[in-house]
Order: sequence, then C-alpha cells, then structure tokens
Amino acid sequence: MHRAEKRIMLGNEAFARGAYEGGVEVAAGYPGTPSTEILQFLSHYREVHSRWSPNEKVAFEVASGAAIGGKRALATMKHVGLNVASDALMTLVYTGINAGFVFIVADDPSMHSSQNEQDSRNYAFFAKVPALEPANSAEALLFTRLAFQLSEEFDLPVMVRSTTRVSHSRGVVIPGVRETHPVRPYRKAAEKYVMIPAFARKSRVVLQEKLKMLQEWVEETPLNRIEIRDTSLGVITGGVLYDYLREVLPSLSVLKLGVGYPLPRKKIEAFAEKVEKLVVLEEIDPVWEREIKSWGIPVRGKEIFPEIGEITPDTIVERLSPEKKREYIDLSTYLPPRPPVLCAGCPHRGIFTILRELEATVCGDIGCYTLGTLPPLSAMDTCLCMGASISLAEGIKLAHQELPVVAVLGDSTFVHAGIPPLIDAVYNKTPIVVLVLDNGTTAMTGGQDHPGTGKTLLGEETVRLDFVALAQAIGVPFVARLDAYHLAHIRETLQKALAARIPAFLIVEGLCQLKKKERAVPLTVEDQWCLLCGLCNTLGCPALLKEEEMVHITPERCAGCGVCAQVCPFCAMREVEVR
Amino acid sequence: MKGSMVLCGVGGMGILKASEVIAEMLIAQGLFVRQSEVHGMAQRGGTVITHLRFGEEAYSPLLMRGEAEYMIAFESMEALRYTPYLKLGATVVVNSFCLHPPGVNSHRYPTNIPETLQQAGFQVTVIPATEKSLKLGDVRVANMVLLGAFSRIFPIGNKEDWENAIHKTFSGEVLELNLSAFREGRA
Repeated sequence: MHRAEKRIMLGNEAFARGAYEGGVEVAAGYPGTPSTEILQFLSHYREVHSRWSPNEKVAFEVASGAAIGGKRALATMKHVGLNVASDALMTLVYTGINAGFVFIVADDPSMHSSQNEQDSRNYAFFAKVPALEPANSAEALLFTRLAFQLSEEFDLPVMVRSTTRVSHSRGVVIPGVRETHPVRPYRKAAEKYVMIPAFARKSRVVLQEKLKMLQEWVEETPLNRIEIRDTSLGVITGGVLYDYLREVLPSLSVLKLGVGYPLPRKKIEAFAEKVEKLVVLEEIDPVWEREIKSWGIPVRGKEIFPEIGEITPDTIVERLSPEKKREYIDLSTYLPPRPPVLCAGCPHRGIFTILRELEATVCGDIGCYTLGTLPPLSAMDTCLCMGASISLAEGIKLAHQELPVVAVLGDSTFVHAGIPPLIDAVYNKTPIVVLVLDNGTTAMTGGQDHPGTGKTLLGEETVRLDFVALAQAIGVPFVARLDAYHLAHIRETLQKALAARIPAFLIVEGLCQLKKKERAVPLTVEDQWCLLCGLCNTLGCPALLKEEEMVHITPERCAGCGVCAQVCPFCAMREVEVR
Repeated sequence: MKGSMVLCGVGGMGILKASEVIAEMLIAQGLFVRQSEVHGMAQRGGTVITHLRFGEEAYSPLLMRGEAEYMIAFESMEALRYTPYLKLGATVVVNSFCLHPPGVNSHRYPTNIPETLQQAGFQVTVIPATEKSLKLGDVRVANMVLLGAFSRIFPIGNKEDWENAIHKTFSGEVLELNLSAFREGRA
C-alpha cells in the first residue's frame, strides 16, 4: 500500500519525480543552470536509464529515438540548450513519437547564470509543440507526469517549461507511485519517420490535424483554470508568477494558464467577458499578449510590466497596487560588491595571468572561466555561446592577421561544441591557438561528468575521450599537453605556438578545485621579502588580501596552488611549515 | 501561523543546508513552505540569499521588500546588504564572522555592523558561529551553530523538532557533528 506523505522538494527534484512516476525509461541531458539537478535527481532512480550527453542536440535525439523505439523518454536542458536541440525539435513534431516523449527546458529570466534570457515559449509557438507551465514543485511533478500521457495521446513531443524560480525553489509535494508501461512494439514506418520531402508534406498536414484536436483538449483541460474573485481586474498568467500574484494580491480574478501553447481561446474569451479590465502577466516576451491581441481582445501586458528581467512579487505590487508596498530600511548603500570569483587554487588563474601578460586577444567560452572576465584578470575579449570561442577566434584572425588570437574553453564545452570548429581551423588553416582548460569536470554547473572524464552519470567507468589523440586525428599540426600550475612552461609553449603561425591545440590540465580531495598546504607571505608591489593582487585570488601595509594570505582559504608564488618577483610566498 | 525569513551570506557557507533544515522542521509541524535559493554562478564566492515563507498557505517563494520577520546572516556585511527584505523591527541573528570580498581594499568593509543594525531598529543577536565551529573542528558546521542560536528565538519547534529535521537532512558521519554544532549554538 502506498502511503501519501508530504515532502518538501526542490522544483528540479519534483520534475525528476514526475518523470519517474510517469514511467520514464530513458533520460538524457546536458548540464545547464537552472536545469542541471533534474537529471541528477533522476539518476538516483535505478529503474531509469539516465545519461549525460555531450550536448543537448545529442540528448534530445537519443531520447527521441528511445521514444520512437517504444520507451517513454525525457530530455532536459537550459533555455540556450534548446537552441542546440532545436534542429531535432522542429522536425520531430512532424514525425511524432511512439511512446511518450517529454523535454524539460528551464529559462533564466534576469540571467542569474546565463548569457541571455530568451523565452522558450517562443519555441512552442515556432515548432508547434504543446507546452506546459508548472508554477511550483507540486505542479512540476504533476505536469511532467501528465506530459507523458499527453505526448502519447497526440503523438507529439511535449515541452515542460520551467524558470529559475520554479526549478530552484522548494515546495510541498505528495509523491505517488510509478506507472509502468510495457515497451511498445517498434515497427518500421518510413512514411512516419523518414522526413524526405514527399513524406514531410504529408506529415505537415497530419500535424495540423493534431493541433486541431489539441485545441479542443486545451479548452477542456483543468490545467487552465479560471478563478473568479474581484472582477474589476482579471489577470491571465502562468508559471511561478501565478504563485507570486496569489500571495501578494489574492483578491484578483485569475486565469491561470497551465498550458502555454496552444492557448485556450474560448476560455480566454469567456474570462475576458467576466472581468472589467484584462491584463497579461508574463515574464520576458509578450508571447501570450501578442496572441490574445491578435484575436481582437482588449488586453494590456507589457505597457504595465517590464519586458526585461524577471518579475518579482515587488514588481507585481508596484505595477498593480502600489499602495500595498511596505516600508523598509536599506542599509546596503556604499557596501562593496561581492561578485562570484574563480575559487582559490582554481587551475584557470595562472593561464589567464599569462594571456594578460602576452596581450593576447582571448575568445572565451561558456563556463567558470567567464569569471576571469572582470578586473583584475580582465582575461576575455569575447564570450558568445557554447563552442564559439574557436570559431570567433578564427574570424577575428581573418579580420586581423597581426593579432595573437587565442581561443579558451573548458573540457566539457570543447566536447559540447568545440570539435567542429577545431576541424574548421585545421581544414582552413587558420593560425589560432586553442587552449582547452581541462579541469576534469563540468565545473560551473557543480561538477558533472562528461566523455572526457571517463565516468558516466550513473558513476560507471567508461572510455575516456583522449583530447590529444583527438586533436592529432583531426590533424592539428601543433599539439601539447601542459600542467595548469607550471606557469613558465605554459608561457614558453604558448609563445612558441603563437610564433609558429599554424593552428595549435594546447591542453592545460589541472583538476577543478571543487574536485580535489587532499588537504592543501597553505602559503604564507614573509613580510621581510614583500615590497607591496601588488602583483599578486592582480590574480584576483580570494585567499589574498591586501591590507594597508601588508599582503596577507587567509590560510583557511588558500589552496596552496603556488600561482602567487610563481608571480611574486621577490619570492615572498612560502609554504606554511607543517609541524 | 505564518511568516517569512531570509538567510544570507556568501556562497559555500552552508546556507542551503540550513534552509533545508528549517523547511523540514516547519513541514513536520504541518505547515506549508515555499523557499527560493541560488544555484550556479552565484555560488562561486558570490553573495547569496535564500527566501523562506511558511504558513497554513504559502504561495510565493520570493518575498517582498519589507516583509521578512527574521534574518539569519552567515556573514556580517551580507546582513546589511539584504536589509531591504526585512520588516521594520525584524529579528536578525548575525554571525560575527567577517569575510572581506577579494580585491576590495579592506577599509571599505563596514565597521560596527551589529550597532548599525540595532540603530535601524532591528532586534540583533550576534553569534560567534565561525569561531565555535572551528573549535568543533570543522568550519562547515558554522551554519548549524547559527541555526541552534536561531532556534531559541524562533517561536516554532522545540529542540526535538529541530533535531529531527537535522536527522532528515544529514546522514552518516556528518550527522553527529552537525547535531553537536546545533546544540552548541542552542546552548
């Protein structure tokens, strides 16, 4: 007998639970804040085959294939990951699936940990894929579970859209039991699964018929819910904004959209009839507002609420009911900021110091190393999207032959999207230096394994991708392996590589600080040698403090990496003697 | 019964774990809890805040400015940074520990933080949580020392309720250490 027990769950844990209960058999993804923990939590359920893929496109396709093959499947990603997977998505809606296929995409309004704040609901409209919008952990579980049924009912992939505040907030859920479904038979059906133009044209018509049926379903489903209270103002909203609104202005009438695409036109029209004024409360783009306005319904949205950044309970009160603002005291003025920084002992610090010294043009990439962008390291010229370091570096080199152009990316990012541009640099003979900072993990998202670590998501040993052998196979004419903490050697090799004017591939190895197990021997500054030149402070190390008349190393923070000792011209840094 | 609080400090100080314990304790009392937290880039030594709301009903995981009745500050200066979330006269439990942001000249770090908070009308309790945790042999349990101190002030939950929540959150060898840190803070 299953006993219903209340539990508090992180949104991402609830997504995993929902997929588990929904009978998912295969799950794949690539780490990306705020989506990462979904797959990590799911990997604890050993009935499910969960795996990290090299990138979101591969994950999406592996999961699609599993669904076509007959097992319920899930793919997870952050919003920008869906750009990578979108090629598969745009046509998978044509073929349909066999067993249920669900993908969870987590948006990041306000860019807490992202390079842009694109609104994935646009993809739902663009690809014509049904999209669910949970507001909290309980709905994350319920909607994900339901998404599998929906997917099978309409033979379509289903998107579940999260945002940072859904994924990274906790709420009460009541876990249920897992559905089990026998593996569906797989039959060869070229007309359905082979999208040559002749078949694709037919499938496009089939898709339109499915959308018509979906439209009927969306009008009926209780996921879209009208709550009539004070009728002077009606708010159409969804996702976590519903929870904000319910908290701060509980008396308003609400149409809560649990389905973000397609929209329930009749239900919206009925709601509009019942209220005096109608507003759409939605984060980032006016996706619903545009659609509703196109039907001629008078509604306001972005003229009231901001189009940029996340909407908070404060924003809602300010814009709809400013008299409800509370008094507060702000003692934060004049405080020094505390931005995130590269950890003490981070293997990236030394290399950035050298690149700065060589005045290289540095095309960076997505990962922890973006923390080296701001002063004092000031290490980056560009950072655009996964893998773009190499290709942008190539382009800049084409524009300015005289610049020493270097691409810098991490091991996981290199595997994700760095291999085709490396092939391009060799094929087209672009003389750039590619530095792969191999810290043995996907660090920024909290340390996930990938093909270069030799371990799977389930912790199994596997074949470890050999970066040097890969570069050699590609035909890179200059390949070297370097120790991230041996600055003189890095400097010398880098100078050689730049002087050679051929494509070069340097792999800089140093384990992520968060992965190190042994206790470090901290360094100390010997005051009689320190002349306060301040060079060590340009490393941006959180263990180094410059007081008025001295430089000090905080022993609890120092990782003993020795980078400051290699930079100090007066050899003032020494290891603390262990008694 | 309803209310809200913020927990703030610097990434890596165990703020998430502490808020997990609070949430577990409140759930066990039959209350609903909503809580929001910071993952990803903000954890690399950056400033961190967690919002927590509880009650028979609880919807929004984010608080409004001027709303929180309690604050637990794991680092002194961060208490000042998040005062806008506090209700006038709110209760603040603050760690005496000061962590200078890297690259910032140390004279920019504010002095007399507890006094500043008191003068602004907050009810302030200063706890040498980091010192106490070092005496226990592990700086990582400063969060439980603070939680122990907070548990004396917070009207919900007795010692057993709190310790049950700690049992739910930790397991293995770290459990005992976290329990002793909690007791140290509560004593």
